Amino acid sequence: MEVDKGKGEAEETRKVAEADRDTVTLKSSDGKLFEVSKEAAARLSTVLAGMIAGGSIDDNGTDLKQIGSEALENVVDYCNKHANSIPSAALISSSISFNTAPFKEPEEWERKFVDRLSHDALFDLVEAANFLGMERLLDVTCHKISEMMKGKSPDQIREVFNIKNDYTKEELEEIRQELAWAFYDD
Amino acid sequence: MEPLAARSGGGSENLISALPDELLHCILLRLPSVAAAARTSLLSRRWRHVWTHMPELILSCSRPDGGPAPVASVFLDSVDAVLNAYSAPTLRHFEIHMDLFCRGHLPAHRIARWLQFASRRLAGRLDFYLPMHEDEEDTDRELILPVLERATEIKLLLRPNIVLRLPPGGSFTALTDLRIMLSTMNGSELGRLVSSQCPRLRKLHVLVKLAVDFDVSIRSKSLVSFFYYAGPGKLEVFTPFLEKISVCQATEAYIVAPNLKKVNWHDNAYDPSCHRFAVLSRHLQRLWINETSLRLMKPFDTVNELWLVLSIPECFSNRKIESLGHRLDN
Repeated sequence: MEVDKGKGEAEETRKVAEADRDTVTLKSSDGKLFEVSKEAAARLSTVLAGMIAGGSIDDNGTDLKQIGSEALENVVDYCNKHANSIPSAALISSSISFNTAPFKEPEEWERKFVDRLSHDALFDLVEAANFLGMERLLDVTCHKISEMMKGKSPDQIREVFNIKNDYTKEELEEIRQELAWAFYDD
Repeated sequence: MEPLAARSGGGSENLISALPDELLHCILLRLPSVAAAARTSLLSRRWRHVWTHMPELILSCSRPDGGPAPVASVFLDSVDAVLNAYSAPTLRHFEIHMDLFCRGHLPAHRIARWLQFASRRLAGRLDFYLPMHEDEEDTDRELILPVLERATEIKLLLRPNIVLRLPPGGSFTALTDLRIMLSTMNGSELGRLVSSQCPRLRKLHVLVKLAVDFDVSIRSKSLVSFFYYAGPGKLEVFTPFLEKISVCQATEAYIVAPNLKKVNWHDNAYDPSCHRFAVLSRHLQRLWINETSLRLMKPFDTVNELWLVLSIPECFSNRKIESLGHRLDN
């Protein structure tokens, strides 16, 4: 009986602790659970910030039916890594430069983070970042995809992304003429 | 929407073309140029018009590393082609960035067309950087700034021989930040724009040559920060919420700004007989002057930071420097 009572108390304590714990549990479309720092989730994702503020976070795992476990694992991994990284001086100062850079360049760790992803995982992560309103992660993943296009001819880009050319020869020629101005900087 | 998970491990189908346009825009905006984005039209029918409604257009004409200065005419034609093809009703950022040393004609009426485009479509930020190089043969030099109702920030770095004329009516309702640099302007037009056509303007930065009429009178309840480098002529400022002012070149100035916290006075000497400050608090956070404007310390009793620029001739002995120090102490 003594033991049972102790167990009950422990259960109570656990419940109280969960109410104001500093992580949230997210559930992927295939039912896997992931824990992520509440602070990082709220800071990096407008959607999660809204759910945390609105109290719609489920302690048993908030359902994210749009996101598969592989993509969600990457999202959570990104949030945790982000929480531990210190922004570089370049990132802080870029906002005051004369020729304002439209995007902040990815940090070294962010580059490594997306470089290790497979083609499929990268595209799943772009959509997950978009779904969760994660502006910075969207920046980093889109930057990676644009890097895969840079300096390549249309033929080469089609090959990288497996895009099927559904134009006729005549149509291609017509577009090429329309876009004559766009070939000067080659 | 199909769960993203259903696709994972699906191999090599064309994932990129399945992304919604807004995500393709995120990707295209990170390519090195609008030209590179436009060339994706050639990929497939899905890509035909994606670039024509990107939310930002940043068109730059820059010199390749070590290469010759670019020619303006080629760039002018490509900007026209982009604007003709552009299909979105609004864009949030429109920027023309020409290399400082770009050569060739730059007729004002060509630039005016780009400003007209901005007037119709822009809801956000406008940046224009024109090259420094002046072409003697450019006789068409008057540029009219159309009303940009939805622009929030406007930065115009023009060239000294361009006369920037401002619209007689209409309101820049959303504008909070305006910079006009290196152009010729009419003093009364500048005053009218700021005083009655920009109700939300917080930051104003003008570095221009005045022509026709030289007096500028500014009355603004929104202005917080004001950099003024223009002359010759009289500057009048009535701004209840102004916190920061920099003045250069004004031969006369009358500044009523009860909430002033930071003052910079450059170039010409401050002379209390023709330059006056009306302030409420006689305390400043920062005063930045040179030795010809020491009398500007008079309207203020205390200052947290004093930046005093002294030019001391080499022949000055240490004793003279010491005595100057004593005078400053007093």
